[in-house]
Amino acid sequence: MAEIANYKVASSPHKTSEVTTRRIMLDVLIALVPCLICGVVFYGLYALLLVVISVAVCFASEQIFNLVRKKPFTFDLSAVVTGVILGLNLPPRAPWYLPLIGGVFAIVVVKMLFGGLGKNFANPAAAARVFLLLAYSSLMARYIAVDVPGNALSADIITAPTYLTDGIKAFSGSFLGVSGYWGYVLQLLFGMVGGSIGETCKIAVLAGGVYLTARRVIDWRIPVVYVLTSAVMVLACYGSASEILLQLLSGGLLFGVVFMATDYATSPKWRYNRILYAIGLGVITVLIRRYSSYPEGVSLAILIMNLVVPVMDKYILPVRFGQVTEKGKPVPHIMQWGMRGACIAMALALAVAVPLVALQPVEYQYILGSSVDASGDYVVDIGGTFRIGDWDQERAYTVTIDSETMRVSDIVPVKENSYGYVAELSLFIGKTRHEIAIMSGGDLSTDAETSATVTNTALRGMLIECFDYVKNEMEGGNNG
Amino acid sequence: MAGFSGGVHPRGCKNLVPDGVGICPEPEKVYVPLSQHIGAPAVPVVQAGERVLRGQLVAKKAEGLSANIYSPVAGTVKEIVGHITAKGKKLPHILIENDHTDESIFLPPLAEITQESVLSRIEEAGIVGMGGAGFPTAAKLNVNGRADVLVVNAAECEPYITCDNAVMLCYTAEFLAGVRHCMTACGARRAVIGIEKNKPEAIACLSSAVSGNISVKPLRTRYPQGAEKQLIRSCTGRTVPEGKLPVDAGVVVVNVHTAFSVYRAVEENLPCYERIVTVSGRAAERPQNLWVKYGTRFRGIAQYCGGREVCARIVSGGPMMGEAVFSLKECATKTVSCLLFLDETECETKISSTCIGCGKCVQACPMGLSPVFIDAAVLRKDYAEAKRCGASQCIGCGCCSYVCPANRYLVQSVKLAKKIIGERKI
Repeated sequence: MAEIANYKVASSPHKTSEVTTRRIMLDVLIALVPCLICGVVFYGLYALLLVVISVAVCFASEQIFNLVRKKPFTFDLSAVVTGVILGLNLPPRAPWYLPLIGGVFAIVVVKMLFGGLGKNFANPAAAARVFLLLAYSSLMARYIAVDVPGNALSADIITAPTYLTDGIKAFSGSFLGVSGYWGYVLQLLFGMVGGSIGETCKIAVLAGGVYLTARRVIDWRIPVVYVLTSAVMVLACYGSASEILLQLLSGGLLFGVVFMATDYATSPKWRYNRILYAIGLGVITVLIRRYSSYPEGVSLAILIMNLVVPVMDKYILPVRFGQVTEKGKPVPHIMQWGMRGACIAMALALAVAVPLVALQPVEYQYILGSSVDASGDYVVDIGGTFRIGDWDQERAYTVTIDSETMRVSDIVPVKENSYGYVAELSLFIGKTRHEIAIMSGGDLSTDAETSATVTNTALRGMLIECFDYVKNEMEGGNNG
Repeated sequence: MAGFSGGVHPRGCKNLVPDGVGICPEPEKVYVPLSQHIGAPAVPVVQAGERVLRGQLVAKKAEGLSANIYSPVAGTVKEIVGHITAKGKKLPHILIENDHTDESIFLPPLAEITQESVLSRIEEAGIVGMGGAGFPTAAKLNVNGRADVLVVNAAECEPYITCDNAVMLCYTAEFLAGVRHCMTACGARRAVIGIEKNKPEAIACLSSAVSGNISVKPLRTRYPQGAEKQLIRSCTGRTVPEGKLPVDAGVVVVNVHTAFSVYRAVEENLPCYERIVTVSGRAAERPQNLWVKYGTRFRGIAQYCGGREVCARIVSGGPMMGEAVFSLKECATKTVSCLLFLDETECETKISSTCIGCGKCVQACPMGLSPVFIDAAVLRKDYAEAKRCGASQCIGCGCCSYVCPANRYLVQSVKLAKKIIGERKI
């Protein structure tokens, strides 16, 4: 028998799991492959070029930073993951220098200056996207329509609308033989709309999410609770059940949920903190989409919640096994039960409220009648009584809404009484529902007298309802 | 659903060892350690040159917490020598030269089985907790009726180890008798045997053999299911408060082998001088369960089981919590349940890299600590922060280090923090 001689001593545990940092990053890359393929198929090889530039810049800038700081080179693939995510977040026809600037910003400013892998307080890809959105807002909107056969390497820009900026005019009439509301949902699901390279095809995003969850790379709590919270918030803020699916499936929500909100360094460590974090994300995302002038809220919400994460990690500690208070009583599991309760409450609220809202017949306050003219545009008669200048006064208009652009093309006053407070029609003509909805008091004030503002505000309310009515008519249903 | 959160699921590797229990050959020389338990070392009662029989008292328990020690072989006491132990210190051992006559002496038979007589027999036989802690069993079972449930720790959650499984399968009736004696000793009304579900034969075997107030509880296969507080939660649904003992929750926990030793002491009048040890690992040619006499040097076991040259690490105990053996001169004691000869593939030496903040250690910790923050606090020597994150409650199970994708030395950090917090009373 050979003598054992060459054995070493080490501290327990002597066995460790096979999972390594690089394996985790590789799993994320594998999960991103379907999104990348869909992006390239939909938007052409130019989209691939953008992603490749982004990856190359991210990887190179990390190594250059290491070189300058005299640190060893890092090959843990995390820069590649950041690069792919940032690339997939770009619009398909962004100019080539956007991924370059974004990549340098993400890696050098957001990640390496704060200490590199695991030390950054904000998600590099989300921060870079928001930075590009602020610095190059027009270039960051170069969304094009899906054109599967036609676009190889062309960088032609034929800007296409997205649902979040332009509403349902982003959709084509029918898809796979399904028209109306479910046709829109299917278009969003398959990604047949304008949007960023990687985030339009929801099926690819979901496939990546399922893979990551099955490999236990990401915690399922963040995506599930984020989506659940968003659904409840959409229902509450938009008051419409049909809006839930459209909002959840449009923009970068699902992509952000799966790949950006679950980023390790910038999400909380304890599972119940993660639920709280996901609830915060859902609330902020929908609030931004609904009430701010930005149509897209996911990246911003992730950045905002990233700032709260260190505080949550520090002050909301897990309840230890058998932990007792100073009086010797068991410490109550407030976070556990609170978060579970919140999730159950949200799920129940959805289950109860969606059928109620959907089945409720839509009641319009101001719609008097409507017709479709020769060119397919909607002509809607609206009218109502408002308290203007201490008198109840009647106002009625005939509004024409272009069914293709979903903009107000004409407003004809029918009844405006003689006290002289006439609505400033030019304020509204040519605008979309979103543009009208975000008008503030200052925008509506056209006269030194407050009565004019009141009149304009009344017209704004009627127009918004008018848009909702037209949208509902176009969806061909009574589904709220 | 009673259970604990966290934990990990390492590969079991329990099928390396065949069924049955072999016998390790008696060595020429045995080095009987005087300290095989928690508490004061025993006091030798033999002189150099004195002839002792197998089962003869060679060292008597000291005042306070301690345990008797018996000679595992018949032979002559050479001297009381300093010999290295697993902790790295030289401590006194009784060196006995084996004369292979195997003359033996037994404890006097018990006249009657009562709580007092069983307790005093357990104390007399020098039985200690054989799961690894080595707490004198008599002191543990002497609870003045404050415990109503006896939990038998048959979880054996560490990979590789199968010695408790072997006891349950090969000595079923004896083990159950031992459990009854333990119940008598501590005054418990019922006993729960908690077994992980990865041992279906043992569960089937015991389920058909148990009766009355002993029950078998199959447990989820999850490391550290056999940690005392986690086991109590899984078996009884009770939670032992921080800083309290299991008896404060009305529970006493004994290990399978301890119960078996109690049977041997009470009914076969055998004192505690040998035990079943699992020898396993890919660098062992003949992995098996063995009866090993205390004081057998590990070299003797390695030779009998064929330790291969590829052996990269020798571990006394399981791979999760066991200690690496630095010399084959170390001796088997009452608490050595397993000797692993691991090759390079089983215990890769990995290099620690940057924390990526994945939080896997926080999810894995069965005690609800935050190893990632404790590690960070220890590295900047902020022990107050480490304590706030719960470092002093660490049970050292190693789940955090096991799951860490960056291979950070988490449990090592937390154990260090716990030690320093204890020493400096932060």
